Amino acid sequence: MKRRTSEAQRLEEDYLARAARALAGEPEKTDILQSIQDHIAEALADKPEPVTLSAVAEVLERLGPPEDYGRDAPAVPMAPAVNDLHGCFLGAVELYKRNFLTLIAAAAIFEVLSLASLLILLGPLTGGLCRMFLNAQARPDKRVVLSDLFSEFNHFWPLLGASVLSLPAIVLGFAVMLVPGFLLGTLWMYHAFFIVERGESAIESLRSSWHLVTGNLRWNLLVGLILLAIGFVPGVLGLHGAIPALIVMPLGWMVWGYAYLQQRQTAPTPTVAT
Amino acid sequence: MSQVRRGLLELCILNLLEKQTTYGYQLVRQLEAVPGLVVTEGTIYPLLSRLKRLGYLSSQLVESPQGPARRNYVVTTQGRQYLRQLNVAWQQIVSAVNGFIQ
Repeated sequence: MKRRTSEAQRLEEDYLARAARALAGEPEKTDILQSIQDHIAEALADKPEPVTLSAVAEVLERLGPPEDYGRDAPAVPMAPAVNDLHGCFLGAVELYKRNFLTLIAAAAIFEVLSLASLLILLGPLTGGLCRMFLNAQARPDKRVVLSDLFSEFNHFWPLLGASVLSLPAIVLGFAVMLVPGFLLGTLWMYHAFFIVERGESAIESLRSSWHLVTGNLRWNLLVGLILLAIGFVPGVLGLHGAIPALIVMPLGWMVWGYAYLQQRQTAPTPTVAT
Repeated sequence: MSQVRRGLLELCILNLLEKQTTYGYQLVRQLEAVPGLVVTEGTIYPLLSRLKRLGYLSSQLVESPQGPARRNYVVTTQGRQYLRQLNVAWQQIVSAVNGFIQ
């Protein structure tokens, strides 16, 4: 990095500190701040050392007020709602192929711990699956990290609460007739993502998922049907632990994750850091 | 208006990156060719992060001869599919608006 005069250094540090405050609650805060720092470094690359206050001030002025970073809630009005099942499967298969063994191991651990804990860990582990997916799809090498499965125990109570509230209703719905269980399962299928990504409470997350699904009901019902068909719901409910299920289940998780990512852009912007 | 500009920025970023992998600063310089699109250069970074989070972009660090490593952005398979939809939507908007103008 080029040496700055002390005033220039202070100005830059103050700008970055204000940007950091503006980005409080933004999941990608570190990434954005690093990009801003890289931008400043690039813009000053051809300036003589020590870089002066006016040179830094000019670069920062072009970047814009640091408070604006926190105002980015890009509704992107021209962007169509993405209902791209083909895309979900392409992304899911890519992740699945790259992480086959890790995902099988994750499925086995998920099933064993969920059943051994009498489903108490089902919710927190589902949160871990969400984090595992979100982290993997954001990485350039798309690597799944097994320890992510246990990374959401900081949201233990909301995840457990949502699981306690939703699971009996879904199971009962399936037991009475298939359709009510399927409908409830689909309406609440994204709740764990809302807890993991936005720090929502159990009830808020169920409500957010409900709104997200009903906002695009037909497409999400189709996704729910596909997930049901490939054994996702039976796996989550711990109704079978056979080896074929362990192989198929992770693919369902990945499709589920990509479906959420596609639908998420129609949901309100996150306000809580994770 | 700022929302429309952000939508346009997203469209331009994805189209530029699909043609050529590049880093943030270079992308800003290219986008400045469109009058009025980049009001403040910093706007682009939250947008790039968001596109990455949605799975439309990935990034990789590449060594630079002129300073710190650069974060190059690449459009993912999912991003390309999304871009195709965006381009279709954009063409429809342009042709409808042109209809009003004529």
